[in-house]
Amino acid sequence: MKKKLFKTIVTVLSLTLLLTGCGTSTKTEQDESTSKNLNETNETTSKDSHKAYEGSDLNVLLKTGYETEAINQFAGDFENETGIKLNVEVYDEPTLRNKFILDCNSKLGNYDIVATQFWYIPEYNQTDWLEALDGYIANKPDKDWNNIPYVSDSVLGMFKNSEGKLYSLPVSSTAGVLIYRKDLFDKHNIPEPKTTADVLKAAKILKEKEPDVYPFVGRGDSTSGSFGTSAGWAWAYGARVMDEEGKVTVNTPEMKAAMTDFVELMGQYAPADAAAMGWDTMSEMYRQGKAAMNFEMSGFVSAYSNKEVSSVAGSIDCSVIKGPSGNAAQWMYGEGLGISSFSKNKDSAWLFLQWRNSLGIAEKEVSNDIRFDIPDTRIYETETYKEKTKDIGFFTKKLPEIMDSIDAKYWPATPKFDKVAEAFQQKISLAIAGEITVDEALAQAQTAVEAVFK
Amino acid sequence: MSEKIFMRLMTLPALLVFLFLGVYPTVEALYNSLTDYRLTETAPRQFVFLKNYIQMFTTLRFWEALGRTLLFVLFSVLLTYCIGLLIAFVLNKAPKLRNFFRILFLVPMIIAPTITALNFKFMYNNNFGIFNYILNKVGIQSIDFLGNPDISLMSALLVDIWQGIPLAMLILLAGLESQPRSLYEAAMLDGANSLKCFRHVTMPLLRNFSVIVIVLRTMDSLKVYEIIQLLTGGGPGSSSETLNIYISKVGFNWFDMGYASSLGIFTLYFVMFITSRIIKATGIFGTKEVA
Repeated sequence: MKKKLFKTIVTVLSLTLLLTGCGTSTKTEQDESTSKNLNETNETTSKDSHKAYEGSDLNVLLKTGYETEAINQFAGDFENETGIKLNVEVYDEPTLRNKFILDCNSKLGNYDIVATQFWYIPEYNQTDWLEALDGYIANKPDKDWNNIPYVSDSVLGMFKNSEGKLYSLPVSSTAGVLIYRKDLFDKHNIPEPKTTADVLKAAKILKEKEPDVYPFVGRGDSTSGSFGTSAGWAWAYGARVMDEEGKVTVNTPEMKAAMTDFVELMGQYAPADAAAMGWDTMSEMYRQGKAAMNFEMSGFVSAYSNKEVSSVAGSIDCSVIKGPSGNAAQWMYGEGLGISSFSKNKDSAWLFLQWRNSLGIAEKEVSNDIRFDIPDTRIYETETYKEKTKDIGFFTKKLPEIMDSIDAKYWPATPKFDKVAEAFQQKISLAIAGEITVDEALAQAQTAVEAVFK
Repeated sequence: MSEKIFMRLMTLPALLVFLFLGVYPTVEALYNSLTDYRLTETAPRQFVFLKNYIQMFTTLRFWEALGRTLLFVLFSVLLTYCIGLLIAFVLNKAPKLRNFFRILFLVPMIIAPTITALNFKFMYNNNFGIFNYILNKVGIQSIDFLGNPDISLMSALLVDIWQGIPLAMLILLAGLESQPRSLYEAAMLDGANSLKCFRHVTMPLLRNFSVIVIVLRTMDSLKVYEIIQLLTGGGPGSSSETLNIYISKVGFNWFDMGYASSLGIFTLYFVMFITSRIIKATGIFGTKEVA
């Protein structure tokens, strides 16, 4: 009996090991078989050439969000057109980054394509985990799908390293805008805010005349996700966390002026829990009509204009605001798609990247109301875009100005971005909560950010 | 095959699982904690001996996180036990309602901490959260549960207590139900009132159950991560940053695996030390120290 049981266990274990071994070897063979000759340089021009990688697989790692919706909806088109099977995995941003970093560390190349946030480009560049795309753009542009000539330099710049090499194709890009309740501004004869001083002035008037509405709302929590608000606001005053040489420049007169105004806005004119507000709670307040002004990414304008989810739809306007230095306040965001250096299917991945960013897909996204913040400038001239965005004409009219205002100089382009952003934002958050003064916050933040590089 | 060999072979699968999932990661973490291993740098890891531990013990943020963790555990265990005992006591006295409320009180325990935290985040909201709505309705000013650095950790603590009470209540109720009535009758005959019965009969009989609740809740509270991460992210500033949040930031935001491993190793021994002290002091597993 015991011998029989033992034999059974040994058999099961052996079979398991055998099957695992088979599985691994099958995958390797598949990887090798799908890995095409990548050295041929030829311009892809016809639909037939889209079939060059037919029968292969692509593993795509994406971040949750509307950028991914297009792939969910139109992946079948790509598969039919190319014969390439897409295996898409979608995660929140931290999980996505964890998965990609672990995959790169193990050098497995499980993922061919990864969604990239522009602030991680220096980190990925330092480790050579992303494939530079310049060679593909120069040698293998797809005539039907390539959109690079129609994306502005400022947007492409977000995904370039210091040597100017491009590491991702931009899928979405947003700039900083002040979104304001036009109905309330008109009611109290407040002119469109054009400067940071105008914002403070309007906040003061609104606090007196509209006691049921908070004059201002923005991100103020202590995570790196809120860094974009405070650092972007600071750029309007000519202040930034690090200068071009990488020197920490937190505790400067310009930063003090910027953060004094910002903390005043958040401390006196925003809700009491401003120091705990991330994008979710902050935007929810604005959508519910409980705040008059919101300094945010331009992408939020279309969300606030959606009548199904926003009570302020039809009552808002937006404006690019400038500060004492003449710089526009920033809330730069860019998401792109890059090719993993460890991918065994780089050419087919490049084909996918071009398809994803093609004008045809962009038009479909607009047509299906998925999103309007598309980096390809040709989209603005299409009838679909004009028709679909007629309700947010105030926004699309200003879109060229908004996109031109993007200035990546203020952003700390360092592989240690997450640490730097958190070190700075934690202190600003405490100042907003009234725990420490702006002077104390900046002195402490200067030390904390310097400590990151020690 | 001899009986002895067969028995040893039967333990092999469990032993392998323990070695791969218990021993190997701990040894690997111990080794990493002595290196400058960073996942976002391609340079090979260097042996730095105790540098990470020195960094840990000389970093104020670590001590602050440790202090908050201890505070969190102390209040969580204490309040969970007291409230759980109170509810168990009430249910024990009301046998008709017992089954209904026993199931009702299980609800917090079966909801995933992530869902709980996300729901509480909105309920705590200063502007449209239900708690402040109720407070305002009864004439009390809104409380900034998550944005005030002085109370943000306490707000997270309340959620942990809410989730922990059912377990405490269930164990203590089982203890109360198992107590023989004869002891109470004897005590009453000797002139003991309800308070004396509670102190001299109920509590001593509940001792083993209480220790189980305290040990389990201590370990649970030491592990709390999702609730704090989703409610406050450790903020404002670092006012609600506990050891687990700190480790997670170092390990999975900054990918400084060497330093994160040293924090992890410290936490492992810290948890083991606290738990073993509780077990030894109470003698729950027959290990009571002889004075």
